[in-house]
Amino acid sequence: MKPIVIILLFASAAFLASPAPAASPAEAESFLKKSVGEVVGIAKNAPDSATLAARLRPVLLKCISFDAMTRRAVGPGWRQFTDNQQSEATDFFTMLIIRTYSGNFTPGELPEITYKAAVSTGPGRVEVPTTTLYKGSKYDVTYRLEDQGAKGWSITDVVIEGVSMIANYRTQFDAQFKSGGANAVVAALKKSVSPPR
Amino acid sequence: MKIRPTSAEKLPRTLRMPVGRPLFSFFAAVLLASLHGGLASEPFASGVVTITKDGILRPVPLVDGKLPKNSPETFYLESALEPKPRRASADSPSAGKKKERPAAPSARREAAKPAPPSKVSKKNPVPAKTARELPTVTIRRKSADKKAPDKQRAVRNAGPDDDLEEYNKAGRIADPLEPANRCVFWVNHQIYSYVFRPLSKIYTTVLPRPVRSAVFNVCDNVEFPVRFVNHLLQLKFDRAGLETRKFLVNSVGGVGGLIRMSDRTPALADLPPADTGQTLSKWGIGHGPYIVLPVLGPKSLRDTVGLAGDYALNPVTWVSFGGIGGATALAITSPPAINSMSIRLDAYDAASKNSIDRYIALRSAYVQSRENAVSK
Repeated sequence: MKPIVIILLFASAAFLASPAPAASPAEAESFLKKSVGEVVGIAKNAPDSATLAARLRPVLLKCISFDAMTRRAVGPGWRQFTDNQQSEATDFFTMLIIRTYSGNFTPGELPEITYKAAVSTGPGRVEVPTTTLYKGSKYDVTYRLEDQGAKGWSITDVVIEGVSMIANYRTQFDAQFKSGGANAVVAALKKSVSPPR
Repeated sequence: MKIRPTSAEKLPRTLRMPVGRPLFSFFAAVLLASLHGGLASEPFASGVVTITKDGILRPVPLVDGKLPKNSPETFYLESALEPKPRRASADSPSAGKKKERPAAPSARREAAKPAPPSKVSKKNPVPAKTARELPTVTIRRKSADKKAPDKQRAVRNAGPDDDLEEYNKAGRIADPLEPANRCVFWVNHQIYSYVFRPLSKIYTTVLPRPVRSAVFNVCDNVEFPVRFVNHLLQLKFDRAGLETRKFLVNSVGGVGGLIRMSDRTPALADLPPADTGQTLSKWGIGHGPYIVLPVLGPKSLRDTVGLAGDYALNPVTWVSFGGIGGATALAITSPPAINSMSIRLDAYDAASKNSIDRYIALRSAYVQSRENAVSK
């Protein structure tokens, strides 16, 4: 066998044996830009808030990891939830987050978003800081993203002016959990998503 | 000549096999059996069973591939039934080792009595099986699986448990005065809802956005001494220098601060603000207890002290206490007050809307926001 063939064989073997390249912050950033672009596109054309929320739902379900969000918002008490309670809590929390997120937009008013360099905060974790100019005010909004393996990148938290959405709900759920356990958390979530009487 | 009947002819007509073709008949029998789900290796091949009174699983024969109609029995999917190990009997060796709960007094008395001789016949040392000793079965609820499939739940729980601890410390502050704070919070909420919100609505309706922005810019520019002094106190001399540049650019180029000319210079566009509370934090002073101040809202003890410092450094306060007339003082202090109220209401709404507990949501948002400001 010619030496060049042997070298090529070794080189290809080394290439095949090397692990897959780790997901980069740039990938997360491009995923975020695409997702936010979809959201802004919907906000631009939605005639009213209810339609906006309804149209945003499938997009948000695709780009946000509501499972991870709910787990972390509940905290260590999550281990004491039954499967049914976990399922219920995730469903209600998903509704609440979608309502909160879509409530931040006024149909027709579009934010101007400036993306800053994405920062890797751990294996498979990236933060993308942005500056959002909306209705004449400037906000620092940081998106926390995680590589979910086969699912790809997902948003796991949104931090507005230093206030993390998940940390905020976490303090609220802690109080509920201390007062009445998993049932109290699920009941509080159910109450918050049910229409006001 | 009388021919003796073959063994096949002695069999009932339905089970009679053609004698001359044994291989074909074997395959035909196997095929028929498999079509009827009657293969010996798969006792419940139809997948549907009933449970007898004795707890025995009995396969249900299908009629033309369907379950028999009008049957009084309940059918179960065989796959939904799983054998459950029977509870160890009182006299089994493992029972003595297990002590789950302290027994009731009467039960303890029973236990103290000598155990009755077991009913084991001399001929057969193994106790006879009774209906009670048959393996019990548990019925898995398929409906629950449909709602949250095992696979889905596995994914939901797949993350490492460490992530549950991630937000353990975020947004926490000592709140020993919580009952009193909640009362003040409630009063503030009423004031915000019935006084400030209508005023803010009038303000935003009467003044268009560019005018409101100009008012905000002037107020922000006037508060320059608060930021400048605190940058110096935090030993951030470069920021104090940039702050001075920003003030001069906006005051001169921006017509007394009406226009933020500094936004056109990248170095001056995003200067983090500084206040006395931040300075105290930089000096190592902790939050102290959480306090809800009347009208002003959430504060920590440290930031309440800081607020006094900010008032002292604010030129608007100097003018108010400078011996000017009441009308003039009102004219000077009103725009920043209304402007600040409008911003405060926006922040209040953003933090409290869609909350589970409005008081805790505001407290957490306040603490996180302050920590973010200090970290800049």
